[in-house]
Amino acid sequence: MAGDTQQPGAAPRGAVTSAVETEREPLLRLDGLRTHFDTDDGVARAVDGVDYAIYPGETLGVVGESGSGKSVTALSIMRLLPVPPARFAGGRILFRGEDLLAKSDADLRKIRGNDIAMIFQEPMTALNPVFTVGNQLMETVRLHRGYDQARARAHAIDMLTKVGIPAPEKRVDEYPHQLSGGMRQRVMIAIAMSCDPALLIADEPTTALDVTIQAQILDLIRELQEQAGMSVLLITHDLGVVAETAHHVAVMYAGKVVEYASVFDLYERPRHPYTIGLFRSLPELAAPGQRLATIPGVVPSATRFPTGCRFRTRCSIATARCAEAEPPLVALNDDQVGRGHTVACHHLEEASKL
Amino acid sequence: MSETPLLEVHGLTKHFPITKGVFGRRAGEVRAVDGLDFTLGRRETLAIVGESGCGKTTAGRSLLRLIEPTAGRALYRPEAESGGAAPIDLFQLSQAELRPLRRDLQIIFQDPFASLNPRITVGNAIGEALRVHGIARGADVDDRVVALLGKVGLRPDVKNRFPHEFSGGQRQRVGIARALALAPKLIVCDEAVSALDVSIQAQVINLLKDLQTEFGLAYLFIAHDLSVVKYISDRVAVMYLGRIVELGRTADIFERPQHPYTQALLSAIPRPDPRERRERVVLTGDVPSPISPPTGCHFHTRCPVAQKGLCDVTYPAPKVAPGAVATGPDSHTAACHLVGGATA
Amino acid sequence: MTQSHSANPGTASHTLAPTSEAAPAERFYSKDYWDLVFEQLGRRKLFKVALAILTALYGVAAFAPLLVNDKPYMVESVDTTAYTSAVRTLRVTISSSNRLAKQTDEAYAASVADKPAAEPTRGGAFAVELGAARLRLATLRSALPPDKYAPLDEIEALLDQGEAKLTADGPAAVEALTTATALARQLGKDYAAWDPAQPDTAGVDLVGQREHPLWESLKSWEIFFMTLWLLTAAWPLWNRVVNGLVLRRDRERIRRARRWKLLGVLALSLVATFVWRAQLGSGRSGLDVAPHKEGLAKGTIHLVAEGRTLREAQTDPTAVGRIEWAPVRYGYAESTVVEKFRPPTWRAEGEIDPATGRLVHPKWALDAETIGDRAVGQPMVIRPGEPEANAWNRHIAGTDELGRDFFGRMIWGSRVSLSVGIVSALILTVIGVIIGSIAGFFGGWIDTLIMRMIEILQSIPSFFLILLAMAFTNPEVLPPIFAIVLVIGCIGWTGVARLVRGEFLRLREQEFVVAARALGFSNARTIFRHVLPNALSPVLVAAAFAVASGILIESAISFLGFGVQQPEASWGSLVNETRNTSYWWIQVFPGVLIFVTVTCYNLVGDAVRDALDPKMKV
Repeated sequence: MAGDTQQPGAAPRGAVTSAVETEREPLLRLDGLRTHFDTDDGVARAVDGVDYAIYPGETLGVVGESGSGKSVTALSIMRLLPVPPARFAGGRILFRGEDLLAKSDADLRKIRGNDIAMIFQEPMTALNPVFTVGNQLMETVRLHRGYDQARARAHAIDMLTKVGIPAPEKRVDEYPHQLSGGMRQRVMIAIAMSCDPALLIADEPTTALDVTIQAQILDLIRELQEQAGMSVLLITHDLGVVAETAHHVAVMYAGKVVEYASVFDLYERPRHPYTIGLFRSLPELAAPGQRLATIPGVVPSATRFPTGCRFRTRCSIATARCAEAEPPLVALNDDQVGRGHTVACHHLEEASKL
Repeated sequence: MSETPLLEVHGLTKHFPITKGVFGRRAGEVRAVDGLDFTLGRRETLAIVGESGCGKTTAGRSLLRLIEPTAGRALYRPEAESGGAAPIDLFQLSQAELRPLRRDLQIIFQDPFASLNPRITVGNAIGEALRVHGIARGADVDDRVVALLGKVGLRPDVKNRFPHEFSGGQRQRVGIARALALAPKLIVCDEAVSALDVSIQAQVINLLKDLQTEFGLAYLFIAHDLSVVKYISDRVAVMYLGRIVELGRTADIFERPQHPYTQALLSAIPRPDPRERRERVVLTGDVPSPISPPTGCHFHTRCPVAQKGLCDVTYPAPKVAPGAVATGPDSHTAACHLVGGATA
Repeated sequence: MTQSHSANPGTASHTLAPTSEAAPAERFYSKDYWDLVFEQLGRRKLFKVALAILTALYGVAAFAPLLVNDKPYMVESVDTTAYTSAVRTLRVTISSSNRLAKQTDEAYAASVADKPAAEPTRGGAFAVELGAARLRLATLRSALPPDKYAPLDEIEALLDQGEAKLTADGPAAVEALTTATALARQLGKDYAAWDPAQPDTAGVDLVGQREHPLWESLKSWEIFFMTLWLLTAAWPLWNRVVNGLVLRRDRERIRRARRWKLLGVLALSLVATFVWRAQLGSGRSGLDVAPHKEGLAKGTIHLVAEGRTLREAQTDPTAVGRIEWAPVRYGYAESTVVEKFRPPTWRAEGEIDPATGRLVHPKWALDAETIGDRAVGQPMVIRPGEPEANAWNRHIAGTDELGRDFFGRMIWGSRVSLSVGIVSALILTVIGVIIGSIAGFFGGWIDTLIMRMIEILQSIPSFFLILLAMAFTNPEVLPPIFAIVLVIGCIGWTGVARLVRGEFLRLREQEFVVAARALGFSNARTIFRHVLPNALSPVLVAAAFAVASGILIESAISFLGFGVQQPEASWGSLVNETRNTSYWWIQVFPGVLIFVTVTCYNLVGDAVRDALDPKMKV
């Protein structure tokens, strides 16, 4: 089959950042969220005071290296972490103004899969191999919407069509192993979208996929978002994926958000030394033959974060002050678009010269 | 070019048999690698890129005989002078004959958590290679291990540590030190930086570049991440379903991609620039199964410009890209019927 | 390419600190696999409790002879009966040896032609007679004060002479033996013992001697396991001392010393065994328990302190000999007819009327006549050393159908039950690892063949296979207990083999194994250094569970009567002593022991499985 190619690339993202939009209340707000794990080596402070907000209809990209706590944050929002060893040590998760951490399990189940849906990195294991695709698609709507068998099935086929699966009437009765990786991720998205969620959490949705498939899936998420007007929390380590998809970006390091800005501000004027270092180490942006700039050292272990600023052990402009006090997230007033640009660094002046 | 290439590969093929039933009846074969031709110069980095299942890892391992290739020749020339000894065909040697040559041909792996034996200290892991090949004995082993660790940017006192005490990037450095221990001429980097975080990946890429300059290494750099490939390699071979569809200098491939698959692959890379607006070639469908590849050009089922009656009939021979030379390291060829130019 | 690896170590640009934080002041110690495993195990309370219980149980099994025995540890006594018999029969043995000395070989051969039990040669018969004479001399010596040794020495010398000259100079031998016979006859008259029952008669005043029958009855392999247990159980204690004083708390050295400690424990146990064998002999106690106890009871064996005389012992309390018994003073096969199926004596229902031998409790009032299990109407005999008839500790776990102390039998039975599990697990693990490694490494048709074989073996219900094998083994040739161990070991390896094969297949694809091949390592090096050590961890877990299942299988087989045979005991066979539930202690106590042991092994297995830390797994 010949390709129906040449689709538009990134959709224009001006609309959601207009002045009117900024007045709106955020859909989800993390307020100093702390998720700790009790381990044999002590308390792992995987998420340790995370603040960010997602507004209706927009995509927030959360970027960070492994161990930065970005996935744990997402699982905390869904309250999918095993307690113990996990423990909510503080903060609030405000969804439409209500604290999810204060909700009962029964109340939470009504929200999970219905108002907030999630897709995972590994499409191979995220589907149950003993049920058909249709079965798993219908389960959510029957549970949350009370659809009957026939209606649920129609809905399932409808969803498969929406996520671009060819011959959905046939695919609906197939088992996950009969689908390719890209198809499975589409099915996962279809399941997540079944109940028209207000927020879709996508945890590294394309990491396990090949680039050509990744492009398909990212386009699909973007289209669905525009159609349904939902918010997306996109967790990834790939700065390219964020650039193409997100409206706002939160950069996480060692359990904290170090920088939060609109995608344009962040990519054009990164202010935190970590963000700057991250961009410099991208081979895409380096001229061939020129050495890549690197961030020395490794991400500290969650049980032994440095005092003060957590990045100071790898930071080239760190001073004694960085070891003493933890820098708070400070709002800058130089943002071109969006709702501000906040950075957690004591030495913004010096960082701007990096 | 008076210097001979380090390695010349002709028709490298690996078919995995599919067996069925209790007695292992042969029911078909996976044509993982299906006739690769390429050369690798001294101190050169040749990247093999492609999506998962295209056969790039199998190609790398077959080349080192870690998997027995089904067919082909791999002519290896240890000496640089063109008048030197006759090339050695790696595929004709027995495993015993190959063992001394292992010193010249090394490999670094993708998964930093699986590439080191968890029961052995990193010092012993590196020292073992030195001892087995008789490169060093006694206290000399220790000195060399410390020097090698220094080369890859690790402190000497880490030699008594076990792999689980290292982060992914550090393990990858140990893996590199182990490969370097035997003073190789060629290192196959099998997705060597794919599993690493961006900042660590940059450290390791820099390290690989430094070592190449210092020791004159040749890399066969197997990767799926095109941005890394663009940065590190001299030449690129793009693989699709077991075959090379395009081969040329890195700049040629990235700036003037000829094969529709290469074009699609390049346009699919997300760019870290939110303002960039690109026309993207989005491929439909999935990679077909290598058990029964499509007739004709393997790519025609997904190709946006495929022509019926041509592309689905015969497999295209490599053609020279317009304006490029036909042979040698500067050549640029693509296996596509629709590319202008003569058959290579 | 000539490259020098000894160049300056590392450029600063990519030297990175291996630890995330500033390096600690002292030398950093890297934990290896076993450090991490032990650390994990150390955190598990249940594991420690289970291990402590198992250690205690194995201690009891190893030290069973010292805990339950009808031989005293030490006894100071004079056996007048034995003395008198020896002094009277000494002449007989010497004169019969003399008779043999006079005979020709042919004549002797003719005289024993129709006596198959007799010694076949004259020399042999002569040696037997001479040995008997010497034994009697030794008996006399032990009971006589040293100033009375003169005639004994004389006879001894003549016997030596006769023996030396028997073949070379027949007449000289005859002459010596004739003199010895005369001396012995005189000895019989002069050396009659003084008997305290007839204090007025004259006679030699015998001297008390000290004996250690229990210690002497210990066999050297028992010493091996006792030492092994002591060293192992005390490991935490001496380990601390060794680490502190010898290894100076250097963790690297401690790690290297780990295997030497293991070897040291084994070596020391072996040394103890050989020292015991050389110094004290092995199991050479000549004490015949039943006559000894009878002598003590009847008063023919008098307790006299070592070096003191029998006469002194009658008046001076300090001259009375001591006797030291094991905590439980029964042999494992020692029966008391009157006490058949007696309930535990610390319970009211265990009370007995010593005069009639009837249980007093109403529950058992009619038992003898109606059930017929218990012989009644006889007075009880309390043998020396035993607790009183109704002492709480007389039979704390009751008695069995022959009146044998059940507690003692359980202690002795623990040796079989506990070792069966370990030995069978050892056998099946070794077989399983070898076969699994072969299948996993070579693959191909060898793998196919082995796997089909395993599948066939596993499709046979193993318990019936074991029963079948037991039914066809001859207990004369192969004691049932060995048969059980062998059969469990030879049938149960399939699980371990599959496990090891799976690990091999998994590890073969691991990058560090591929790397080993890429580095040009030989197959042997790749297997033994890189694959096998990583494949054995799950085997450890399987082995722990195999011990538990081995114990259960042995119990089941013995319960069905195919296992150990009387008077040997195992916990399973003890449960089988009766199926009558009135005798609850027969089922309850061994049952609880089996349950506790198997549970402990399962806990240990679970803990070990959890301790094989996933981050260490490859």
